[in-house]
Amino acid sequence: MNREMSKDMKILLTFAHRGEAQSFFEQFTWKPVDFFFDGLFVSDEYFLLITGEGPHNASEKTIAVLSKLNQNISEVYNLGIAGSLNAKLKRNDLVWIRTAYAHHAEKLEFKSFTTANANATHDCMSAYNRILTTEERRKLSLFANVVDRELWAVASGAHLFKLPVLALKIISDDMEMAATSEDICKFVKNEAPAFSKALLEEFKAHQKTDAKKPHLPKSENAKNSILDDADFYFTTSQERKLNSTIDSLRKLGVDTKSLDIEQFRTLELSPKDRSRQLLQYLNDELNPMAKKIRSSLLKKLTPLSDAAIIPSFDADFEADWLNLNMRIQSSRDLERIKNALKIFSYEDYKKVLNGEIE
Amino acid sequence: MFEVIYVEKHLHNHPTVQNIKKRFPESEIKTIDKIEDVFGRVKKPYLQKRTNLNLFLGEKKGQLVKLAPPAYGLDGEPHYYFVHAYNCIYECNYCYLQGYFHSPDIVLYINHEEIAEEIKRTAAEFSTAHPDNQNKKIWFHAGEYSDSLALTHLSGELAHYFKLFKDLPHCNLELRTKSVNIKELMKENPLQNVITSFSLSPAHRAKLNDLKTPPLKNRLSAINELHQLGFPIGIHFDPIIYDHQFIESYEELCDQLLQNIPAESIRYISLGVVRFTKEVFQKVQKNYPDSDLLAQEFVRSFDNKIRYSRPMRLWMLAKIKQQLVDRGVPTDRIYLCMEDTDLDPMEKE
Repeated sequence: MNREMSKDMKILLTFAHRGEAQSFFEQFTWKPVDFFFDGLFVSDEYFLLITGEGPHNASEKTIAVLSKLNQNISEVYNLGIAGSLNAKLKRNDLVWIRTAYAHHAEKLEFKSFTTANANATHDCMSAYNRILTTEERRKLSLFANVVDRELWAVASGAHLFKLPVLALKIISDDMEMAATSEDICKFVKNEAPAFSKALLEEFKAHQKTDAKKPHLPKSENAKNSILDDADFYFTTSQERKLNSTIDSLRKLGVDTKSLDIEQFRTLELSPKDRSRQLLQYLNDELNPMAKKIRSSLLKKLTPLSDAAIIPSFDADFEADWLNLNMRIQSSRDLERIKNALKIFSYEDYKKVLNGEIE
Repeated sequence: MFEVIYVEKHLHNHPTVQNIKKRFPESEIKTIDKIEDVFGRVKKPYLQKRTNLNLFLGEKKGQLVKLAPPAYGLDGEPHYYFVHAYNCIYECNYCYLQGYFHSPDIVLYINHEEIAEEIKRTAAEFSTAHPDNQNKKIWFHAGEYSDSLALTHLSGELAHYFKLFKDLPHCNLELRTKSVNIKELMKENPLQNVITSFSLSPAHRAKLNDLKTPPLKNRLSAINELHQLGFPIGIHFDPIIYDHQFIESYEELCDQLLQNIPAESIRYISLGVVRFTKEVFQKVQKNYPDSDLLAQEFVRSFDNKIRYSRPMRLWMLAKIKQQLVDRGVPTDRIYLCMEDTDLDPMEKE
């Protein structure tokens, strides 16, 4: 699905707890969104979703919001606290996440999700249960540097809607810190304002330096100008073919401006037939060898086509078969066909399929 | 180079492990029970190898030597491969490894004695089962899932295999590489049944496709150096990729190759046109969306692999084969890799 960028597009910010988001609430002006559940807010630039703790809450709420609003969302952020799984990562360190993994009921989810932040160097394991012991952390540390409870679920939702996801975490507890569930809750509550402030500052800095603003690649211009042209009519599959062919030409370094598209506009054909011819021309530009092969094959088939026998062959040139379509209405037709078949060399035809291309 | 080195717990005192730990003092060492407990358990994105490559050290269990697929090497001789490593430090954008292990991390198996025993047993078993094939060599290939030389300074296995194949004169060992890491190899005395084979592409294609590999001229120098020392050399023009400079660039490659090693000294040259399984094709599309590699038209071919059309690839093979023959390479030393050999146009003349 194509997602056209427009000025109405917003970034979706997701947090597990309101406390983690408090600086964001203070920084921007928010209105609550009348939705199926509480916890969704909107500002000029952002949606903000409080998912609640854990993967189930995060998954349900992210998917519900994206189902309704995905056409208005350009990317999804997951922000919040995480535990360290690496002795080098200490409390208050801010980390951008590279890949999200998940761990559930002593098993690892095979699927992973990679964020759109190419500079991120830390991986995050989203655990279905709170990870309280050093032993549990050690096990997970074989796969990731930090542990949280929501990112994988949020990323999974974003992936479903083909939206890029980014994740910023602040380390709330060190690798060797063992604690009870209550201890953690109390600590996080006390520290939440500081964590949230740090997340906001890093998020704002990243937004400023983010160079990956959407832009149309050069070939988009060529595609759009052809697609918008009333002289052509493309079916859905032809449109797909046009897109892929122009993309491939671009990859080969062909300047799309150098293509002679004008010649097809003036053809006395229907827009649909013009489009078909244009696609063939573009394909020949892309695959000159395929053009050569087709013309070599057609040359070998000339005795048949001259006798009004219509040959068809495997469009991929892979199989040896040759199909002949002919109509006999008189003895003369029969003689003409017999003569043509005598002249036609199947061996020569097969030689082309075997690479003897003139 | 390696962010984390995972070591199977019973191997910490193994000399190879000790050596590797010493070479990478900055790497974090993690102890694991078995490589399979961690490696490939979660899907690690292939391109993450650019920023985060880990190393696993362990012992290979299960089948250590496997029968190679048809059209793997010179026709009519039995071919086997053995596995002592997974994955590669290079990043060739056509490589099938990007769709194979669900992780780009490097695995080095260090139980070479066991692998060597299995090679010996396989060779003996084949000879017993095929008493009429005494004139044929039994081939063993290293590097099915890795580069055979790139990490030999770490893995230190060459001495084991040279010792083994010295006692197996009816067998050949192929070390297949794109590396110029030949120091370890040069410590050995050349054996006529241990062939180092280099994969080569025209310089501009190597730059575009063989990412992070030594440039063509360095590979040619390595070939020259090894040849001078008496090491037998094989060549793979594989994968052959079409572009508008195809004919000229392969002419130049043939000339460059033969400036570094005489035609009659090359043990064999294999030719293989680029091909993918469906899964790898999709991975290439995903990982390298801007590459010209897939810009040409591809079709599903005779073995369900994705290839150029049959006339196109046979034309390409015939052109290169002719270029080599014109320069004095004997026809019987050129073979078509992973292609339906019945369709070789030059064989039919």
